[in-house]
Amino acid sequence: MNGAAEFTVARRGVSQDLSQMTGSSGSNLSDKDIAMDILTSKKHLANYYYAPAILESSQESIRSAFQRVHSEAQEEAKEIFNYLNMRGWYNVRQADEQSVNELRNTAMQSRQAIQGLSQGMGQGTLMSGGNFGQTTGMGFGSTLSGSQSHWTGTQYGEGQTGMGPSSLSQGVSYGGQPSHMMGQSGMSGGYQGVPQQVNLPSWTRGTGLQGQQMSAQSGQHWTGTQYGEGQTGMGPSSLSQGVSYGGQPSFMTGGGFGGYQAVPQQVSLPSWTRGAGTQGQQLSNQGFSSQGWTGTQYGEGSSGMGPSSLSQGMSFGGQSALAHSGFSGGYQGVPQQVNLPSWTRGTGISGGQQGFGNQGSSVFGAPSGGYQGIPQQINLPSWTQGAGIQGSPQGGFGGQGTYFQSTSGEVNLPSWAYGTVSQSGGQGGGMGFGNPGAGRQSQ
Amino acid sequence: MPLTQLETWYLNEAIKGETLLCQKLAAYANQVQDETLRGLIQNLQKTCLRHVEILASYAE
Repeated sequence: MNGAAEFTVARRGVSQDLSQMTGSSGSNLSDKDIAMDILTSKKHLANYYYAPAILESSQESIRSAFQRVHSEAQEEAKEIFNYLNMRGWYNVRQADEQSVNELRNTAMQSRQAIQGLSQGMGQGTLMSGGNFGQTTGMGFGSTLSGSQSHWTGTQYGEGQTGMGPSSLSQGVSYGGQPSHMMGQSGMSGGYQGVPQQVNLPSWTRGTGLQGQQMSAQSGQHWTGTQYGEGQTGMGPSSLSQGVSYGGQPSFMTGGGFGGYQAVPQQVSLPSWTRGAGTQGQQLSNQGFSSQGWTGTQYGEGSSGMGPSSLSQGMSFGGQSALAHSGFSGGYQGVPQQVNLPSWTRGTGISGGQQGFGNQGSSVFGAPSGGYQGIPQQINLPSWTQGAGIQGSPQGGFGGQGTYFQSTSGEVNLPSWAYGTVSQSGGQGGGMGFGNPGAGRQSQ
Repeated sequence: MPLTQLETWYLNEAIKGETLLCQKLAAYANQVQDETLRGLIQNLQKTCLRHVEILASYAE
């Protein structure tokens, strides 16, 4: 085969070049430069060749070979890093207090979400009150108790722009792993803040792999924004193994009954993710209609070249988040303007979404009951243009569609999902508007 | 078993990458001032050459 000839030439070239090397290159590289270059080279090989090659190899022997060289490359990169670090040539930046606190919150919320799953996979019907006549969903008992109402603000997961040691790379996500931003509140409370303007430009191009998302139940506040900014430099060698690249988006859901008392004057969400996202399973807003605008998620990706394996099994280009907006209960706010332009254009595959599932950045308005607010304008231009495959939206407001209801003001829903949508689940509960094009209802 | 397209590509790229690294290491070994770094580089050279051999063996 032709490849064999090339390899032979390459091997011969190595021997010749090495034998001819005398070291008199005349360069002015310092020891630090040299060590840094070696480290960079190691990272590059490990990250962009070996790691994806492991994933792409079908033959066990080749896979093992790549694993071996990858492991050794990691070890050597660590040696180089230690050399640099000991001399103060490669300093790592310690996490600031805010980041650590956010991490703690994330861990706590994730534990709660998981605990809720394990304890309260009740899958009951959560229809209480007259506001939720049609929605049936899964209940997560433990997370439904308690009422925390707060605007969670923004979360930034800023990525690494430099180069990290290879030892950091395993088991962690690089480039800002956003956390959960979930409404933990129960059925009361109110969002009392007044975010006048929220602009979120220049969104994610990164990648995200999301296995299973578990949102808390009935968060009733606007959860703010999350940034998962990607890695712009070269990452550690094992970035591509089991970790997300460039910002893993999280859930941002808002649910609950409580009174949304805020007055978000303007919420702009331009330029969303353009990548494809693979989403395993989303469990969100089970049975509860969320009543707050749930904010945004950023998952900004790697700006460099990714290994080809990233595109297989891992989502590339920023995994879109869910933005659930449901109106139920006393929505007392006056959102003057909600702009959500330029949404995901990538393809999305979601396995089993329950509730308000939609892979491509969905904004669901699920009004029911007393929506008392006065949304002056809700613009949702340029939605998902990619193809979306949706498994089975069970219950709730499944499907691509959107349902907006307002008692006054104006509701504009231009240019919705342009892409093809395969929807096997249809509309759940007879409530959803499954077809692209959004349901519109004004009273 | 014949190589797949992806395996071929990665092998090819990996071999070329390791080859370049070997060349650089050979040059660096004679340039560095620090003996510690020099020793480190020499060890890396050995590993690098071995990597090329390992990877190239699948092309034969």
